[in-house]
Amino acid sequence: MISQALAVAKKDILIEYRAKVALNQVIPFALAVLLLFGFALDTQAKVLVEVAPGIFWVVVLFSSLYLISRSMRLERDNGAIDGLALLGIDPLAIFFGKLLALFVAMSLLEIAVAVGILVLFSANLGSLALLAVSAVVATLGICSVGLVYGALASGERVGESLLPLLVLPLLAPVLIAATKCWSDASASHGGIYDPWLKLVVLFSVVFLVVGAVSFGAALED
Amino acid sequence: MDLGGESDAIRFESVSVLLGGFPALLNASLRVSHGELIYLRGPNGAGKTTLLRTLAGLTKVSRGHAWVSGLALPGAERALRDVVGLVGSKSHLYEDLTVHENLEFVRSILGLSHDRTAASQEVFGLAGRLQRQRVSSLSAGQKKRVALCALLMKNPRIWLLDEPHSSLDQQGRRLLDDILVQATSRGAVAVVASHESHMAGDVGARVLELVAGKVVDAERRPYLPPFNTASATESPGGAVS
Repeated sequence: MISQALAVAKKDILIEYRAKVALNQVIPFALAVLLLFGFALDTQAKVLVEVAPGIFWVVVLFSSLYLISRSMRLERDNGAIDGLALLGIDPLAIFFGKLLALFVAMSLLEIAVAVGILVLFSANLGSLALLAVSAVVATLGICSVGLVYGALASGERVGESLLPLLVLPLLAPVLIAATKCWSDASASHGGIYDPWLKLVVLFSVVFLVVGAVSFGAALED
Repeated sequence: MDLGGESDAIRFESVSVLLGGFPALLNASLRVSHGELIYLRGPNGAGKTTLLRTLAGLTKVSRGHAWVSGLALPGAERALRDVVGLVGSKSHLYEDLTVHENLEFVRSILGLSHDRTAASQEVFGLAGRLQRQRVSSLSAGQKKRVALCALLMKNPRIWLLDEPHSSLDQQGRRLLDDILVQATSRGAVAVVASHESHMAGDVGARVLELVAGKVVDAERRPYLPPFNTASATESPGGAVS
């Protein structure tokens, strides 16, 4: 199962490396949205610093929808998903392989948005440990939910517009908790035992487990 | 436990498959022995692709019972996918990957040796420069060869092919027929949906016909008069326009 998952991840990363959708489309989109937020909220530098954590996660969340949608569309094009099924591949291997590849793409996106936030909003990072752990765990949660609903939505003709409606309400708790983690980190009164981090971990673990269990059924639909 | 399918490679008993409420297969019954090569013909929309997808475990049996390679349907779809191979109208290939990368992905998932992959590529003329070409830049015939190569690498017990000769050149068609004859001589079953069933005699295949979702033995099929174009242009009053 692990070798199959790694093969799926390698395949997805190679396709992304060739197509450069994250690099040429999604990251520029995220930075453009960041810039628009900057213009829209351009009142005082203090305001920008305060809202920076929330804007980071909103931009990451909206931009991630493109990556999630593309990750599953790869498998619908040319009926590749049938090809995977006929190779007898374990749905869990597909889930964890795609999760790994999506996690890599999301991490690149988050690094780019974080740099943008630091430059444009003069945001304060504070505790890097709390920031890094909360970002990694929240990203896992976003990818898990995204893959399951991406699999469901990609089978529908209106899948592209359906995906945000399915995913965003579910991810609201992760968005709130991850934003609070950054706020606590920048205020330097949060460590890795931050209560908001516990909430991020709780939701992400639930999403990961439920995602792994239900992904096979979502693919079959 | 019903082992009705044990002696036949494929057995359908009054199988119906509903696609969005529409009966794509309707009370279809079918028996195929081990080592048989079947040519499946029928007009567009007769249910050929649905039958192949059902045999592959990709579409569920809605009513009736079926056994494929001893596995009962509905129920054993996932297990069935291990023993069947399908080349359909879609190539199942990743356009942004090269020929080599696509086949290497298949090899790594199936856990095959590099030698077997190389041998299959050699058979379909995919060795050499073509390997480094992205699938998106291949012709339809070349894509078909890559898909067939992946099928040969899997070497399944049940070969399912939907219009496999389309876009292949003469040499490719002969090669495919040779491979199917060899596979069936070793006990595998091949079901080929094709509008070119006149070629069935060349490879000693049995011809079945699908008519409105039912399987009919071609030799016993009812006479269907050719489509009368005059009636289509007849005016409501009876005069031909």
